[in-house]
Amino acid sequence: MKPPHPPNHTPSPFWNTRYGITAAVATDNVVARSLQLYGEWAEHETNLLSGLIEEGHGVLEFGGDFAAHALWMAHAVGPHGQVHVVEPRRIRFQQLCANVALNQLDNVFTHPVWLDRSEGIHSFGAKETVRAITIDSLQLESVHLMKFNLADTLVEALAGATETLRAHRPLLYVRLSGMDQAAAEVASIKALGYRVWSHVPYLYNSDNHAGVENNIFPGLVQQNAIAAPADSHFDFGDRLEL
Amino acid sequence: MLDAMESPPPSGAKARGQSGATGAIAPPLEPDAPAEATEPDDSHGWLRAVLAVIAAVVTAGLGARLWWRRRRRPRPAPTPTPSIAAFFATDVPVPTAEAIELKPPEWVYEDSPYATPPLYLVPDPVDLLLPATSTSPGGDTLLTHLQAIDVNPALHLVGDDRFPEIRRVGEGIAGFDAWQAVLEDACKGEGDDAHLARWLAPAILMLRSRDVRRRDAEVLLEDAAQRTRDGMNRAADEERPHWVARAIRVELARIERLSGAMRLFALRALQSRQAVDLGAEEPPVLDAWIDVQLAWAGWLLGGGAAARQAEAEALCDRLAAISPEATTRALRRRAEIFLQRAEGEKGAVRLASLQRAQSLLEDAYAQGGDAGTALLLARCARLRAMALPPADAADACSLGLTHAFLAEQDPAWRMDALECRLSIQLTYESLPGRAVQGEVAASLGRELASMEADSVGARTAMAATRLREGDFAGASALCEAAWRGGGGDTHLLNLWRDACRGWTQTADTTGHDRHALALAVRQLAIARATL
Repeated sequence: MKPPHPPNHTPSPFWNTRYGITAAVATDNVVARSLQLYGEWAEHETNLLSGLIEEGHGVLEFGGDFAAHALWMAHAVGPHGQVHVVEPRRIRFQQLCANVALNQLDNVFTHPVWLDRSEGIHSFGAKETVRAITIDSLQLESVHLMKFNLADTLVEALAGATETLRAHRPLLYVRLSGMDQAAAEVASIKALGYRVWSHVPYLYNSDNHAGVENNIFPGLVQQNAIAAPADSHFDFGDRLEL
Repeated sequence: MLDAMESPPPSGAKARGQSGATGAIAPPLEPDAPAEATEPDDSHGWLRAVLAVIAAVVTAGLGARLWWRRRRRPRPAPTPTPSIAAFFATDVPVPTAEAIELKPPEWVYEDSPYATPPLYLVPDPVDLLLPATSTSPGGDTLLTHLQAIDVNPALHLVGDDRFPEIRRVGEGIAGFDAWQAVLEDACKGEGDDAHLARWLAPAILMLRSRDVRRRDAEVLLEDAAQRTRDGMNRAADEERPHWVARAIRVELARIERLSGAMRLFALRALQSRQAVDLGAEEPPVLDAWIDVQLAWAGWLLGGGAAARQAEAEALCDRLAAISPEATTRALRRRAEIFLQRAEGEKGAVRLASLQRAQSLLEDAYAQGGDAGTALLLARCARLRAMALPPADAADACSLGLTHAFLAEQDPAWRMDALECRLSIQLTYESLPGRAVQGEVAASLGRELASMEADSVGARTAMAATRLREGDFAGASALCEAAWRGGGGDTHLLNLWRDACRGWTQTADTTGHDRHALALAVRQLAIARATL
């Protein structure tokens, strides 16, 4: 005999994450898997950045990560601050916008462009082409932090940010691209008059939002870097300086 | 030599006196008495001679007796001789009889604040628990029950009499269950004990929450918050600020367990919730809010931290204006702000902040010296010693050691003070031109080990002594334990590196020792990589 009301196994279209509601997406990448399972992504990064971001700050993020960090940063900078998220991939950009809209974040600005050393057209993958702009062309009123999430983009993006870096001297938080590119990326940051320190967070956070003890990223870390202008008062003394 | 009473009287007076005394018995014996001896009676001559002899003997005996009695009378005070001493005399209070009776007839050695404390002597345990406020008969009070809990490391009550705080020594959790059981039992009653138990119950829950996972901690802290709300509802008007301060600290404990990103929001929410209470000039509330600002500043870098520290200083200004007691407290809190500032500073700026902190702590200790302030002063002096030129650094070490000794006399601070002494000793011996002082550091290290000291600082200091003794495996194990306990600064990792290097040069090439060394090196690499 069938039950009168069979249980509904339809998955929820939303995920309840640490900093808000996120629209469910295909879990074919680590960011989506982490958001679905743990309700957060790369939380150790936000832990570090939480000591740097204040109300009223301006932030530029290259690589949306489904707004996983933009949700937090939007609250951290408050109504007088701004978060600019640049996401060149079309579907990812739409998912990013969906999450920003779902959480009613009116201080988040999204940009479907590629950040390059000069303006033009950038192609990636087999099918996608997108407009390339420079960071300087965004003409940001204030920027205290630039966060680079996409691999193999840092050197070119910084090359197009000369004026912005000179005017605002923001902190830089960078996910390094790998063994081959890391040295060149660190060198490009230092060439701008910055000091660079290592930050190697584990992908798994044992204190995750969902309270899941199963670690699907055993031993996996990110090789990141935090950089501050050499003439600023920031000094990450206990971190390994690169 | 004769005094005035014994000087020979004139002859007439002597004759009158003597005859007066003896006239009824015998006639005068003067041989030259001329009056009636006109013509001797030869028939009674012999009889007269016998009577004369008898009279002479009797008279002599009475005279001798009278002289003897006069000699036994107390001698009167002599007439003072002229002196100029009075012109130089000062007003010396005349001791009263009571004072004389209170002075024992032996030497009394009084303690001096400059006396050198005994070295390496374990003082008798001192009962620091507060004097009983309950009138329960037979000493059956909450405090006696808490005292009876014999665990190591112990929990201690410190601070205010009516609203004390629980101080936990080390990282051990022994004693929590027993304390909580006693407090729960006492909460059920009425009176002073129940009042104290209700005040302490949230504190013990806060302490417990630090040793459990976040979700379990949330349950404990919610319980603590509820008990605090209950206490606030029961509190009289004058007690309310203490309960408000308790509520702020429970919330701060909850915020500490959040991820860094969530803390920001929770702190902003707390600030808006407590806006009304923060407007009142109540020392407990201002003190608790300084805790919040310092914790907040500790989680920020750069300008954000400076803004929080400035806010904390403004609170110190308000605190200092309330009362003399609050002024002393404000001195210490302001010193804590300068110490925190110094953490992010370098060179002369750092030294200036440390100097300012030390000056404030010296004032605070002079006005109301307690072991906690003494220990903070000792730690500050050590930090200064590490930043000063060697000649001045030695003086700073001496000051630090003195105050570490003072703090050590209080059981609630003894382990931390020992750890501080060891750190200062190691700092002193590392100064240029200073040699290792025998077994001092090693002895302190052993003493800490015997007390099962498990804080990051204690383990780091003990590791340094082990390393110096050539116990590389032991030093490495202590470094690893310190790292697992939350330590991760460059000093610890360098110490660990040196331990592993020394171990590499001495370890057997095969067997268990080699395997343990490989594990230690791997852990060190992980610790370095995940800074």
